[in-house]
Amino acid sequence: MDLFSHLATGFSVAVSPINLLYCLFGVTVGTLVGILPGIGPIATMAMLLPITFALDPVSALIMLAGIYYGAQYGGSTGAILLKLPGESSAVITTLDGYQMARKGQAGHALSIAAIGSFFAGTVGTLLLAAFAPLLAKVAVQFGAAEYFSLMILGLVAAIVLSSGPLLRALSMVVLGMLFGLVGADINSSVDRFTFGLPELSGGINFVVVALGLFGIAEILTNLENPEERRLVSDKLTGLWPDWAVLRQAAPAMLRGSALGSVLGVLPGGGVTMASFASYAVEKKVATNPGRFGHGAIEGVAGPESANNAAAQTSFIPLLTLGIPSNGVMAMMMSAMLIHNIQPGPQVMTLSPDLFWGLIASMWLGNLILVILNLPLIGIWVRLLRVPYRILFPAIVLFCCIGLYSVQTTVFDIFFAIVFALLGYAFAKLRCETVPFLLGFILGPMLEENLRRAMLLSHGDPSVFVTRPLCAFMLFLAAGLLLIAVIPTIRRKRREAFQEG
Amino acid sequence: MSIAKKLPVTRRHASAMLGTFFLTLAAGGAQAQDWKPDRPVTLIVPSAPGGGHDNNARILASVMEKYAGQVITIINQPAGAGVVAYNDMMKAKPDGLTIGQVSVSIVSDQFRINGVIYNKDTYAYLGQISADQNVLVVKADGPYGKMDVRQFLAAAKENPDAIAFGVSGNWTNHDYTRFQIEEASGAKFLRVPIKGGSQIVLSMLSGDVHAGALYPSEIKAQVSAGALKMLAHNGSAPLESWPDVPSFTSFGLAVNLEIWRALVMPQDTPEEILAGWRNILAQTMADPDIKAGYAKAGIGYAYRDAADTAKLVADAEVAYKDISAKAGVTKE
Repeated sequence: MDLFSHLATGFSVAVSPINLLYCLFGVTVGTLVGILPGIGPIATMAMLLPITFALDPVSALIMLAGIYYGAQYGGSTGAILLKLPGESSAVITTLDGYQMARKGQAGHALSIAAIGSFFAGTVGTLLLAAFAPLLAKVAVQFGAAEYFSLMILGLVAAIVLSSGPLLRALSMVVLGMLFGLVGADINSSVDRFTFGLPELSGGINFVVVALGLFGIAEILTNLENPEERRLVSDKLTGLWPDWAVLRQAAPAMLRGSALGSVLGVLPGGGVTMASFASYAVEKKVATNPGRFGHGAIEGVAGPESANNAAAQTSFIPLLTLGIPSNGVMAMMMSAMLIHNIQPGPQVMTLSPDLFWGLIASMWLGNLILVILNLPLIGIWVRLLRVPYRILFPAIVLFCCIGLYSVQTTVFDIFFAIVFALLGYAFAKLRCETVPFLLGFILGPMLEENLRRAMLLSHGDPSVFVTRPLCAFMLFLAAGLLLIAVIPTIRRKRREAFQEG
Repeated sequence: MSIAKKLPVTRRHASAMLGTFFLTLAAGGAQAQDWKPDRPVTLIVPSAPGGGHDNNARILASVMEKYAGQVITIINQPAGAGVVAYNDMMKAKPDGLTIGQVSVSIVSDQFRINGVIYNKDTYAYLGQISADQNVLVVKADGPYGKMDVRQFLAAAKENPDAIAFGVSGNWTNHDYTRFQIEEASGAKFLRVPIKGGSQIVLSMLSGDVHAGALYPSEIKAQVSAGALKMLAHNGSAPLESWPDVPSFTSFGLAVNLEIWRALVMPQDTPEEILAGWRNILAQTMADPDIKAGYAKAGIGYAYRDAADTAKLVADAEVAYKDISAKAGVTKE
C-alpha cells in the first residue's frame, strides 16, 4: 500500500540522528513552554525561527512542530499538579486533574493524560498520513474563486467557534484583517496604511504580531496574577496506571481523539476548542455527571486526548491547501516560506522527504514525549519553582532577541511592544486574540483571491455561485452563521464555553 | 551561530594577521589585490530570508568566507522593497567590511519608485555573481499545452485579454518580461498580479492563469513532473538545465531582460580594498562549490569581473529607461 511505503520514507528521514536530535530538542522545549505560564508555543516558535535559517528545512520544521505538540503534553503537568495551566488548551484539565491530585491520584492523572495524548497523537498522525494526499489531489484544482470561498468558510467557522460573543469575535477578525492589509497592494503597488514608513511597505511581519500579542502581552497579563503556586504533593505514585483506571479512561480517550481530529482540521478550531468540546461531551455521556469537577478521570483523558489529536490534524489544511488554520500553523507557514517551501498541495509531490519525514517525526516525537513526561516528571516539576522575577525577564529578553534577528531591525522590537499593549488591551476587554490573528493571516489572502477571481472573470461576480465547489462552501458558511445566531443554539454555545 | 562555526574564526583571524604581517614586510612591493579584511564582514541582502536573493547570498557567503579569511554575516533588509537596503549600501563606511548584494532593480527602481536616488553610478562593483532567465511556461495539459511559442503568441494576438498571464506584482521582472513579449509579438495578455513565482505556478496548475514568465528555480520541479511546458526563455545563452528550450531572440523577438545579481561597495571605497575584494570574488566564483550550490538551488551561474559588470549595469539602465518609457510606468 502507498501509505506504508510513504510512511517508510518518512521514518527513514525522521530517524536520521540529526532529525531525531531536533525532534528531541523541539519536544523538550515544547514541554517546557507547556509547563511554564507566560509563554506559549506561538511565541516560542517565533523566537526560535531565526535559528532555523541555518538548518535544513526538514530539521527546522520537525523542531518547530515538536514545540507545538510538546506543549500539549507539558500543559497538562502544570494543570494537574498546580492548577496552573501553562497552555490555554490545558485550562479544562485543571477542573478534574487538580482535584485528582488533591486526592492523591496525581500519578494516575498524569499517566492517563500522557497515555491519552500518545494514543490521540498516533490517531492524528495516521489520519494526517491517510487523508492529506487525498485532500491535496482535490486542492490542486482550487482556483482563486474556490480559495476565496474556503477562506470565507474558515473565517465564519473561526467566529462561530470562538468563545466570546459573536459580535466581539467578528470585530476581532475584521480588525485583524485591517492590520493584515498594511503594506503595498499587489494589484496597484500603492502603499496602504503605511503612514509613509518604508518599514511598513512590505506589510507587518507575522513574528512581530505573534511575539507582541502572545509573548509580551501574555507576560503583562500574568503579572497581574499573584505568584501563588502550591504543589499538591511532592511524592508522585501510580505513574503506571492499573488496568481498572485505564479501562475507565479508554472510551474517553477514543471519543476525545475522534473529536479532536475533526476540530483540529477546522479553521479557528485547534487545540483549545478541542479540549473544551471534549470535556462537554464527556460530561454529557457520563452516567453520573456529578463526578465531574471532583476528580473524574474521563475529564482528564478526554480533553488531553482531544487537544493532542487536534494538534496533529491541524497540519492538514496547511500541508494540503496552504492555508493555516490557527496561529501556530501560521508560524509553521512562515518557517516554510523562509526555507523557500510554498505550503500547498504540491509540498507532498515536490518534497516528499519533508512531508513524510515531518509526519513520521510527529509520531516519534509523541513517543519521546511519553518518556519525557512520565519517568522524568520530577525534573519538570522542579522547573515550576523558578520564580517569576527570573522567568519573565528572561522570556522578554528572548522575545527581543527573536524579534531583532528576524529582520535585524530595532524597529520590529518597538513595533512588537505596540502589539503587546494592544494584546493587553484585548485581554482587559476580554476579546480573544485568536480570531484577530486569523483575520490578520487570512485577510490578505482573502482579498488577493477575491480580486484575482474577479479579474479572471472579467468582473463577473457570478463565478462564486456557478462554480459548484464555491457555491457549496459559501452555502456552508451561510448555514453556519445562521445556525450560530439561532437563539437556542446560541445559548448552548455559551454553556459549552462556560464549563471552564 | 553554532560553536562549530565560531571556532575556525580564531584560526582564520590568526592567518589574516599573519597575512597583514607579510604585507607590511613586503612594504609596497605587494600587489594591491592582496588586501584582505581583518574583521568579520557584513553582506547586506535587499530581501527577507528565503527566496532567490537570500539563497544566493547564503551560498556565496559560505564559499567566500574561505577566501576572505573572515566570517561573513548576512543582514536581510527587505524594507521598502529593497530601497532601504540600497540606501544603506550607499552610505556604508568604505572600510571594506560591508558588501551589498544588488540585482537589476538598482537601475530599474529609479523609473518606478518615487524618491530613489541610486543608479548605475552610485556603487563600486566587485563583479557579477549570478544570472537568471525568465522562461515562458504554460500548463502541459491546458488549452495551450500543444502549441509552440509562435502559435501561442499568435493565439494571444488573435484574442486579446483571453490568456491570463501571472506576474508577481507590478513592474517586477516577471512583469517587464510580459511587457517585452507583448511589445515584440503584438500579443495582449490579461495581466494577473500574484504574490511570488511559486504561487503563480499553483495558479497555473489549477487552470486559473494560463501562462507566466518564471525563473528556472520556480518551475524546475513541475517541468520535470511534466505538468508545465516551456515555450521560450529570455536568456542570451542556452539554459543550463534545459539546453533545448529556444530563446526568444532566436525567433527574432526582442525579449532579453535577464535578471542578474552583483556585489557592490560604496563608491568612495579605496582602490586597494576594491582590488582585494575583486580578487576574493574571482577566486570564489572559480570554486566548484559555487556551481554545485547554485545548481542545487536552481540559481543560474554567471560571473563577470568589475569592469564588465559596470558595463552590464550601464546597458541595463539604458534598456530599463527605454522600456519604462514605452510601457508608461509611473512612479509610485
